[in-house]
Amino acid sequence: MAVAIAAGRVWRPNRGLSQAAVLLLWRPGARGLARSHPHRQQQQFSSLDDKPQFPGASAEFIDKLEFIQPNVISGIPIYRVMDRQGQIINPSEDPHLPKEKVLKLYKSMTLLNTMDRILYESQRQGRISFYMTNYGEEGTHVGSAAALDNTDLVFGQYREAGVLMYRDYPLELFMAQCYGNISDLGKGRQMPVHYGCKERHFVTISSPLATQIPQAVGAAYAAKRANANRVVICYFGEGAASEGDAHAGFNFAATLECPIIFFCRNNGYAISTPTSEQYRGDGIAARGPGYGIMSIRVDGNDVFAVTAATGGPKARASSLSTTGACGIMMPLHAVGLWHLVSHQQELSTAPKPKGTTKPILESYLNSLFLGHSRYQLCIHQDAVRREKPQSNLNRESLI
Amino acid sequence: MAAVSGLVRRPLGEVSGLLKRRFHWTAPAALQVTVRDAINQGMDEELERDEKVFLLGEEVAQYDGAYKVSRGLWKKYGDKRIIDTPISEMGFAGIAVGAAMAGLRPICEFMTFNFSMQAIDQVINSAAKTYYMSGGLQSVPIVFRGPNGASAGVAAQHSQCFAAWYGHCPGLKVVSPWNSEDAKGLIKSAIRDNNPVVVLENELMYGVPFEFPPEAQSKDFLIPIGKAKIERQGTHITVVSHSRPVGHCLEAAAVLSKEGVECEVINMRTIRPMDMETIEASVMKTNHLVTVEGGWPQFGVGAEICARIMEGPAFNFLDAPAVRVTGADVPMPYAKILEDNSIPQVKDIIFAIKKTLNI
Repeated sequence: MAVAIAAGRVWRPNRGLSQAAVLLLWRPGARGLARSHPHRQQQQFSSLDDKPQFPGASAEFIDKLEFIQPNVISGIPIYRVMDRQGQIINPSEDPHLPKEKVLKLYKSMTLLNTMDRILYESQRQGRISFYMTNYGEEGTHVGSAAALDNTDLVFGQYREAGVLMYRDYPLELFMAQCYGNISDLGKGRQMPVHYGCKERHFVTISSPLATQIPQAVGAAYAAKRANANRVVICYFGEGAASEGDAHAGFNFAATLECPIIFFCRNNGYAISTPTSEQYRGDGIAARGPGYGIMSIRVDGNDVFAVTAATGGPKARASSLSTTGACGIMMPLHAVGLWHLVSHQQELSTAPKPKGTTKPILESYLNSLFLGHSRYQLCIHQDAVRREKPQSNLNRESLI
Repeated sequence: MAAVSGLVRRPLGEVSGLLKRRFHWTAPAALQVTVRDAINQGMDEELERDEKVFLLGEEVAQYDGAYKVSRGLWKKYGDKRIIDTPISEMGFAGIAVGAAMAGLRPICEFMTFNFSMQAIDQVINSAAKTYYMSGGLQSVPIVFRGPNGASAGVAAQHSQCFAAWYGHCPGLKVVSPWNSEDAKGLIKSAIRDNNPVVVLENELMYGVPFEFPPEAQSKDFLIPIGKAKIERQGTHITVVSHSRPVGHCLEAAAVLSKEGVECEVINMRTIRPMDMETIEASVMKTNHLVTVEGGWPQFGVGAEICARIMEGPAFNFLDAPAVRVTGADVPMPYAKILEDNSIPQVKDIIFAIKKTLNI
């Protein structure tokens, strides 16, 4: 890789001259022309050594014909802090978040959930044309938002309202955007859920999938060039990761060494297309190392795990250094996908009678496995509960 | 049966005595078919007729299509003929083009044509130009289809009309059906055509039922690509349109008819190759022209029609400059009142007609 970079510097100014230069660099055995790279120290080879000297590859020779089977390597393990009952498994991994933060996380998730119900109903009643709920994914939004600084730039796909919620975007503006009314700062131009807020560093949502990925990388590159102490986070779903833009984005993030966190929300479905038809191999997380991106797989229903992975010293600090991009993949619990199958996109123009909240939906929302509920249980066990009973919080959010 | 044919052969006067007991034939109830079902039928029939035909796109299989256009096809034909793809338009359009080059006959569905921009290199550089570039050796018998143009409340990135963009390219055929009959006939012709064909459907028309004439119910019902249809005969002005606005033009014509203005409404059906003969003949008859489209004005379908009229014999027959009625020159807004005013409405068409006729 270092060799390629050196070639790049020779290539651009004067094409004629560099033709010869590039050929020189790519001959096996060429030495001394590569700069040392933080990750890979170029060795000084003597031409007598029987070691691989291919540019762009660092490996040993093997004389046995062996293919790497894609499904033989076991899947990247899933990091979690809490078990399904909300108990912290390993006390040393307890993030020890301050009380106010814990409460804020909970309030944001509850408020988001309530807003979702109201706006989802609105769509079914024909009052707005379109809505996307965030059911099951609240933990990923607020967990990651909590780990970032307020000035960190956010590029979302369409299911990241919780990030804005955590950054205290007023409810009135959420509603105004969905309704396209006179209070909408977007002046009624955008479809619902296409939020954006310059003050809160949340880039306006754009409909075509995965276009935000290379844009986020560009923004991260700009931040790096400006020496701004900020990180860019880019959210996308596992389906959007199939787009060509995703490949380009990941590749550039790694080669340009941008301070960016890629956050993949994997809920198992893209409308009705299951992951088995979307991709093969060990999911999106496994692609990270292929691009040269530090990666982790995290249980998206576990808020503490999400916060730790996004903001922990490893992710944030290293993304600010020259080593660049970091990838986080969030498989969400299978339960989340039930209503995501039915409510992926509320687009149908046929209005339904008022008050049709499906009873099955309700029971899933209260289910043990949703991040929201698991978090509830965690707070139960905390002394925090005595100061602010959670039922109060639930009621407050409905007001 | 013999008695009936006997009745028919005799002149009516002789038959009068038998009239009290003749058979009473009721015309069969007019069959109403929605545009969605017409496209579905067309694809179903072509899939059955030729096993090289297959459909691929996002959500076309188990989900029955994002707009339910391919309902029932996966159940009938299975995984090998109806294929759900990952979310990569560039990817699956490229795959479809490759399959077409290798001898299959793919139907590549874009969820909307807005997303075809992600794949436009495959459509233009690989599908459209290949036959020419290969000196006629390599054909690409592919169909790209999907909803085009404005829908309702889906804003800028879901509402663009691509008739002008695709109509611009040599090597492509571009069709734009309005009603059910158009939809079925054109999709079948497109699938049987050995050239790359872009079929620009309209989401708002999918659910609209139209009367299906008996010939359209045949499995070999084809509408020739490159032939427009005169939906309504008239004498005072020619109104040319394609896709959903054709309906609006007919409504405007009905309103104006009460005022004594008879509009000739032409449904283009095909954008490329454009049927200029029909349009020119009509203009030479009526001496006035208004074009109506949902797309943006600059470099649009209407602009092309006006340019060609000027270049042809019909120019000398014009009594007034031709007028284009188009979508507003802005990305489509979301708020209902803004959206309504960004697409041609019946009142805009009436206004343009009256302006041209100077009434």
